[in-house]
Amino acid sequence: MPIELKNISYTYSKGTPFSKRGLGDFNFRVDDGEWIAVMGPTGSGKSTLLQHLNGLLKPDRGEVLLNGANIHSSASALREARRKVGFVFQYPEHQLFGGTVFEEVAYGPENFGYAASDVEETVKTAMEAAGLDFITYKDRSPHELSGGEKRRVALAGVLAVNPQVIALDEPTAGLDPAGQKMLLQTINELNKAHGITVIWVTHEISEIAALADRLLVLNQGRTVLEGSVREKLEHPLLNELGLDVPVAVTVARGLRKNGRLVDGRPVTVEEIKREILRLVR
Amino acid sequence: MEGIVIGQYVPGNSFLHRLDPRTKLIISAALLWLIFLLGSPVEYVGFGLLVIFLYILSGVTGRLLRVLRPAMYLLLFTLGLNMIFTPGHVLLNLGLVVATREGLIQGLTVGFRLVYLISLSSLVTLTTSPVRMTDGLETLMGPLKKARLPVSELAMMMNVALRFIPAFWEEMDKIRKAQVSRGADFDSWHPSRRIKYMTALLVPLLISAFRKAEELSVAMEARGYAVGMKRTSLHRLQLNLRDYMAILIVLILTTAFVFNKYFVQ
Repeated sequence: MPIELKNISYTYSKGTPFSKRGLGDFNFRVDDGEWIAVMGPTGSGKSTLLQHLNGLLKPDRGEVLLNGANIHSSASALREARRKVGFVFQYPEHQLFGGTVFEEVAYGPENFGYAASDVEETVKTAMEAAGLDFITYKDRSPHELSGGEKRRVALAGVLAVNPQVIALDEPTAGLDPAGQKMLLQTINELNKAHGITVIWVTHEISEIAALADRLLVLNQGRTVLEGSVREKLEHPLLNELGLDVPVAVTVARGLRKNGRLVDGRPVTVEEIKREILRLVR
Repeated sequence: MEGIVIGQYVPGNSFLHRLDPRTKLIISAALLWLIFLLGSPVEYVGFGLLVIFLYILSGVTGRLLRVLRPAMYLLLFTLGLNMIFTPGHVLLNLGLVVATREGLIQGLTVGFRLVYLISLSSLVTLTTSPVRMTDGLETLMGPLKKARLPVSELAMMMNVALRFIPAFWEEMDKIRKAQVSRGADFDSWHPSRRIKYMTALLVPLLISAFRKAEELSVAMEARGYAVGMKRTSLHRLQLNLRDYMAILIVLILTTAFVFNKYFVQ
């Protein structure tokens, strides 16, 4: 289920004194099973890009193609896009409303017209995929859970409609390290084992540097850098834009400057540690 | 759902924008009062020109029609009613309803008064940011503190409410989008589904309102806010020369008008 964005332009508050460009002549293609990391300074158009993927925003110009079909061509095409492309907002726990976790997670499947007999099964699968034990959690109120658990409930609510693409807007923000690790594992599992496409907007590339395939850097509504994560993380533009550069990349750069031959492109602490140990020996 | 403009305020730097909010409130009060003294057609035309002049002066002329549009029906309604129910010389006889000349004049009088009232009071909100407006009201109502009215607290509440409209709007937009992503359809006409969709919007919004209120009150107390204290202001309102000039001019004009109308002859 590839997604193609063709010549997308979008302006916020068009025709008012407050108008602000979201995206300008933007082109992008996402292939099946990819994990794409999106970075950029605040206001660079990351969220705008995400919201075009499932038709929450309609481009002023250009088109969004899901499997080759324009998602704004008909109401049913748009609905299909909403089902196929799951969306995890920043602080997704802020959208919880259900009296029980079950009710919360079942919201999506019910809205998309799943048969009542299938709902329980799909809720169970989604909860397990998000790391929530079905029996333990299904009757609890989502509002009494911890922050990390709430976020898993919200994630399960998105997974419950079996999306083939999932877009996440800074999904680890505000989570403790344990929660971040669990969330990363969950998404990694979905991506590697189930082939779900992941589009991950982040300010902290370090946490997914070794997991994501492709990096997209935006600035002022345009693509300024795009390509393999390991390769592009070495680009000086990231520092110029004030974006997060993994420690490993900075250290490797420093070592090379001092004439050391660093192998490959280390991006995690683990990888650079191995390189340093090798060089020391 | 983006492009949030609170009230009607149009940012700008015109003479009227720079006037102190108190000046604008006082002047508009005087001019609004004047509307009810207008009598002859010449006076009406003159006042109309004044209103248009003020709009041009403030650079928000384009908003004039938009301001008046919602009042259109009210105007036609009053005009129609007055024409029919005022006795006098018959202009048009449609059997059951009879329109009279006196009625037409009466209707136009009321109609123009309404137009002037709406356009003048809108001009104040068009050129004054809500925060400055509350500051102005707070100072003007200052003497009421003597009567133990919690003027500052009321102004603070008003400011907080205004300040949080965009925040709630944003929050609502986010929740709406999140639920739409999960298949909610807020345009649905199906009653029971509509209730379900609205619940998914309102419950999180309410929870967030309480969370924000809690955070805000802690933040305010942490910075020393207490009810009933005497506070100073970072942006002090100050009456400048232009304010005194404006008040003086309006005062002279109004007095001259009233004097000419009631005491000469």
